[in-house]
Amino acid sequence: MEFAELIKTPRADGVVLHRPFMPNVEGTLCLTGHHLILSSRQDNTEELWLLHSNIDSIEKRFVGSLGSIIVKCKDLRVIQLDIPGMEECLNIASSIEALSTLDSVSLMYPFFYRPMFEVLEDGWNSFLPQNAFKGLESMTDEWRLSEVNKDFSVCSSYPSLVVVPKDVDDDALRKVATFRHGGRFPVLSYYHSKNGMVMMRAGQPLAGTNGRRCKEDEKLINATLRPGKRGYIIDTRTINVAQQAKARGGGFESEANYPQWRRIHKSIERYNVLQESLIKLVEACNDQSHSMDRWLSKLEASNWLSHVREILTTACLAAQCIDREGASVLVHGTEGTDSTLQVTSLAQIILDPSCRTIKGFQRLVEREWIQAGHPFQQRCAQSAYSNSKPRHEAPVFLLFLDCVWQILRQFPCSFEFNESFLVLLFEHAYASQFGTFLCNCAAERARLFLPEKTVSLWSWMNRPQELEHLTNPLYEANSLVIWPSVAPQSLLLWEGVFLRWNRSSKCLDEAYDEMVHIIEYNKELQNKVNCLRRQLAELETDEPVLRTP
Amino acid sequence: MEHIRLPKVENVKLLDRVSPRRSRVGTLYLTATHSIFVESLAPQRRETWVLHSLVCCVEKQASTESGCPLLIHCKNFQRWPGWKYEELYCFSYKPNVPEAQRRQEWAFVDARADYRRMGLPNSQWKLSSVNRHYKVSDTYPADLLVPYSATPPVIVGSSKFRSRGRFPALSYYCKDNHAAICRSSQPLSGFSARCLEDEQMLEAVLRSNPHSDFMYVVDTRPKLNAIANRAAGKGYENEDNYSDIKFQFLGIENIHVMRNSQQKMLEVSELRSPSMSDFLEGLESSGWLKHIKAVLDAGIFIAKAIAEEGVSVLVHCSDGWDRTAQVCSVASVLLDPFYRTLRGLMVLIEKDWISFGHKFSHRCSHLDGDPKEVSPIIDQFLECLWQLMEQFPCAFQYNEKFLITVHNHVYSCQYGNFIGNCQRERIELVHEKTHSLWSFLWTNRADYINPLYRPDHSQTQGLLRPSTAPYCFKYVPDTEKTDVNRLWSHLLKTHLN
Repeated sequence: MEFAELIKTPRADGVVLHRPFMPNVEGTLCLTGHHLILSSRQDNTEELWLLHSNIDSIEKRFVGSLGSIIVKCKDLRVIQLDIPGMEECLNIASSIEALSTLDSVSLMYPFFYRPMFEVLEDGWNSFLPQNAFKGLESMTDEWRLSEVNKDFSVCSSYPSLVVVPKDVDDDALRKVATFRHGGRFPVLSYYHSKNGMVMMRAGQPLAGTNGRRCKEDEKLINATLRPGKRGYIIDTRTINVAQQAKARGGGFESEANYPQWRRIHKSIERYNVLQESLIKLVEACNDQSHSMDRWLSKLEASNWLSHVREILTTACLAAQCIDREGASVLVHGTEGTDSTLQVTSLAQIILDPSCRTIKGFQRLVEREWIQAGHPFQQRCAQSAYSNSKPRHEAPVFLLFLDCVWQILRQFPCSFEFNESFLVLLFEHAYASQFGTFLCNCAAERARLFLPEKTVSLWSWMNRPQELEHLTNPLYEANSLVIWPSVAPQSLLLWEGVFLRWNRSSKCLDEAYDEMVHIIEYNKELQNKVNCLRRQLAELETDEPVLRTP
Repeated sequence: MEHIRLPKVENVKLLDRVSPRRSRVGTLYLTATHSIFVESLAPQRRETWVLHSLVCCVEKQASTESGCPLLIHCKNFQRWPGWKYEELYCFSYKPNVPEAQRRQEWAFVDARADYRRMGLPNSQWKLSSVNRHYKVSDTYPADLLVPYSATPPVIVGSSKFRSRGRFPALSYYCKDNHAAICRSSQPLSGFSARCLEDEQMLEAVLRSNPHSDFMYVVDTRPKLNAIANRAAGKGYENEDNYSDIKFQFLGIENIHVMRNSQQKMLEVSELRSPSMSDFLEGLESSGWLKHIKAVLDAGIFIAKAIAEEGVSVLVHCSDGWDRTAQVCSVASVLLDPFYRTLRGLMVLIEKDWISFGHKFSHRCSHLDGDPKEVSPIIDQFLECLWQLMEQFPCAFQYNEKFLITVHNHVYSCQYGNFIGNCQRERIELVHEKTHSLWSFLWTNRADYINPLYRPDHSQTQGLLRPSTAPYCFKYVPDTEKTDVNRLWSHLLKTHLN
């Protein structure tokens, strides 16, 4: 298919762009296969480059022959384009609609994008499972790297390499896979080096109504327990939801078959509920006419912060079992691709200081989200402004980032990255020139040769000039477990995402710059002091003559 | 001392209400003025001091295996029975300071110096001695600035037409455009009463601003409340009787509504394991943030009238010592960068609150008194400042800790500043015997400096234009940010040394 077929009016002059808190820009609008571009064609004015894939929905309005298109983006920004000429406006609107809803992944921009920067380190090779396993090997010999899924036939949503208990062979894994939803047999998610406890994740067991069991499954997860020790199974669903799942062939681990495990049910919502929550929250944030009462009641009714709280609470529970109780943990919900990953990744941020570094967080996202088979393509197909009925869309990853932001806000010195880093990941998960968040699982990525055909977000991000903006100036490595408060008054609305386009951030940005300035100045002085001290020490040892009067 | 039967208890557990994991074990000491808890296990042996006058009630709960829990409620604005002024802590608080120095403490903040800073008196405004002996208005200060053309008979006449004799007097003057904020109490207009002197007084205020042909008269109350007051012979200005005024209601609720709102807010924060919805619903139904927004909106209205229109404003509510104090001082902070400095905020509280007769002892329940007089009016002002600091992090020289410290001492009665209800009471009571908070704060100013403050920064200059969209308001400040506070104090100390 040629993009040109979809573009009836590639160019319009005299278009006026309205953006909140910024002056209007009049200029020429151009449509390309992947971008909407508006340029005033004057020096020193900023051009607007908007990826079609970032557009969530559009609205048309007409006053006489002047048409307006209101463009609502997946990053929650809303802009307005005034286009002279009814026909031009209609053509442009229909082109945007068509180009922003392309079905085929291989037509997406990452396949056409060529980097304009020097790649220092190819992000596609930065976080390979075999390298991560080397780190684990140095701590314990109880685990092995299995190639059972190398052609993605055992579990279609798992990567080709997974970490499993050493004593469980590949044949057993194949059997266990038939007993778990989507073939997602229990695999290692995290090894707590402090006490050797582990966190595993999986899909729900396919116990069904007649209580099917699988000896290999029991053996697999029991292999992670120390003699005489009990473990915890954290089911992210309520007991009712888990019971109902039995009727559809799913279910949970029964006490009888898993006597060494204590099961705890939590209630993290599933994707359609979360999507609805996002839509309500964004609607509340965009309505400027609210009174205080109405705003607070809409904020409450959106339930967004309740979801944040439930996820954080469950992650704290998992971390507590591992660190405080000295027990191993298995986490699953239904598919094991959404709430499960929220819990396992947040628990690691709480427990493991290395996840709070930039590289470590990228590794976590790569391992616990991208390679673990979170269906980004489906979940991030639409955002809060979509008019179409949601199918598989859900802000699961955004909720995870929101939870990380809540912890970052409570521990502002314990993270190497800043808020911008999290906002950037949110943007790229929904629309990007990079291939990192494309597709739903490793198998699809391999089929489309993503590493060969697209550029990794990490390749771009891990360069000094980008890292500079993403590094937290307050960071001081903290080797401790950090326990976030989940009390309601401790959880705030993430302004950096939800109010980003609704208020001017000038004063806050200035404050941030000022903080960076102070810290740099302090470092400079510290260096001077150290330098002078060294000089003094040298003088004292080299020339004792100077000291005698 | 006869009240202390057991001065020392060992093996006491101090429980953290939010996270029980963080409870601490130590020794509890009782003194005449404080309960002191000293941690015994931790290396730094952290101390927790609770001033007895800050305690509102003590709840003894059922014994458990680990002991008998005592729940101590603090700062809760309920009565502390049977105290006279002389029994307040400030009269027994004797730090090791020579008498001469103690006297000097009281000269540290001077409202008159602030008028000089504004360029007053000048050809339009004069310092009036009409209230020298508190005869015209017993709740007003002795030193007042009035329009140059206002003669004593006009002032006295106007004061007779105003509640509690609180005639229009200057609160803030803008040197650059001559616009002024004046304050008063409500007029005794009833349904039709008039007062020539009062009309002349307002005319004088208007004429003292040569660039403007009208002035605003702002009644900070909701319209209904003001109308109801007419039946009692009070009320608000009739636009027809006063030349060139524009009259405006600003809809801030009265002290009783504010007290209930805070009570509800405290109940919300004391809920046991509330859900997110419980908390947000409670926050909404308390109305607390709605009231904070109303005060801030009113301040913005006045500040814009002064800075952008160059029009003078007369502000009043009922008696002119609660809402009027809030609104005038919020407007001053928005208008003048000086009030965003440490010294400036002290001066502002001294001027608009202490000297103009905000009834601290009644509102903050320093003594046994009418519980209907208690209300968190100054708390709301300090919270408005906090909300502004969140929006303009570089514009304020003081930090959150400064606001919290001032707030604590408004209630603690450790210093004399806030004792009593008006200047007349206070002069007799405190200046001879007590210490001043301001010089204590100034001595320890290193603790209260906002490291991000830059006097030359663009957001520090001129009028602050905060957003009052509901989503710009944050919940109650949380003091849990220990991580970053420690870092700042470390950085600051390196710089100051």
